[in-house]
Amino acid sequence: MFATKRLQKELNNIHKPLPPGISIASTPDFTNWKMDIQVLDNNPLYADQIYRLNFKFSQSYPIEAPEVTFIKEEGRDIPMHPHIYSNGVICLDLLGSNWSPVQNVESVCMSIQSMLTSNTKNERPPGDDAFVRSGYRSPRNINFVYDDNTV
Amino acid sequence: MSAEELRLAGNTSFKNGDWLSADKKYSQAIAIDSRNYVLFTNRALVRLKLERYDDVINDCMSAININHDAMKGHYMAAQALLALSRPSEALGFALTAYQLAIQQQSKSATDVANVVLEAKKQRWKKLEHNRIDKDDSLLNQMKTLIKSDSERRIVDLREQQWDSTDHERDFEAEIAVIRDDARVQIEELANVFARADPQRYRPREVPDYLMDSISFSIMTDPVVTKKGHSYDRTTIMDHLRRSATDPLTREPLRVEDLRTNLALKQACTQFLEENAGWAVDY
Repeated sequence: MFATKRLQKELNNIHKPLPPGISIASTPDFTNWKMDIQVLDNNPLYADQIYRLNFKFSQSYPIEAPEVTFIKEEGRDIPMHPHIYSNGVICLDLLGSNWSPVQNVESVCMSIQSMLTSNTKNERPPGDDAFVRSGYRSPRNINFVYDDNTV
Repeated sequence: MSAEELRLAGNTSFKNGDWLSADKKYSQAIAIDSRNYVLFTNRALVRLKLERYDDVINDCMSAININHDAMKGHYMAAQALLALSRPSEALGFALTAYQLAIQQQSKSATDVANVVLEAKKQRWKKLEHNRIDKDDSLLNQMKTLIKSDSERRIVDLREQQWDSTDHERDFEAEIAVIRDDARVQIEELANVFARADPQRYRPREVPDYLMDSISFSIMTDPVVTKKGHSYDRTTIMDHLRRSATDPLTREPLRVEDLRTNLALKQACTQFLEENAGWAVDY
């Protein structure tokens, strides 16, 4: 497969200027990258915060979607959002059933950034506690109910 | 044991990584039934592992003679010929293997396409190598002339220095000037050669319109969707196996909707003819 070659290319391209508010945290190898994102407008929910996204790539990337979650590290919290569980799992159709291989790391970061920018609700998805207790980490195995398309 | 039983025993040995025993089982099977091309392609695979490339080619030829559509026969023959540094012959087999892989909707199509590219690359390197050798021999000859001329002048100066009684004259400085002149002349000469062949010195970039937007590699067999976007046949087929949608518009898209983009294919082929040495890995 071409996962490694394609990620190498993405990395080369990414070293050209990234869109504002998106930066590389670390890219140790071609299975796992960490990216930092910031919300740039004055949305009070996310003001002055930087969030860290964890990308996991399989050998079948980009035919298969990467696994993308927020992770908690020093100075990096999980953003509050009705589609983001408190363990960092993100409910975004783009990362599941609606993935397309023409998407890339940069475009995924931009989608998540705009998902935060447009949010006004200071809340977690319904059933967050139960979901986090159930221990699901892999977003791809979950059948999300996209019941709220207005967010 | 029957030929079929021997074949299955050979498969088991192969799975266990016992190439020698697999080779023996397939050979016994072939001794009983020499009309089954699968026995030959199986043995060819074992011999590929054993790096017995000439034998691989023989087995592949036998398989192809029995069944011309034996994709694996063409595919492994190409691999063996590449290993033997015979890229032009390898390319012929690889291209046939690729056509068959597409016809048979084989999952190996991507791997076969990579062997096609590798063959193009190796062939380009061989040609390029010959060309550089030829050019460089002329360049090197002229460099040698400049160097020997400056050395001769330095030797002359040293002799004059030996006999000279003129203490004002700075021979070391004059020698330095001769060396400097020679260096500048050689640099200029190299520049002239570079200007005469800009192909070799132009930036090594594949234009975006020849790149597949899924694999980010140069396309070799571009196909166009209903909406007019082009992808490499192997990568879009990988995608369609997972999701029957247009990657950009997400509208339904089936393999039958794809058409070969002949003009773009020609552009890619021509670009690879001229640049395969680096464009394959670009």
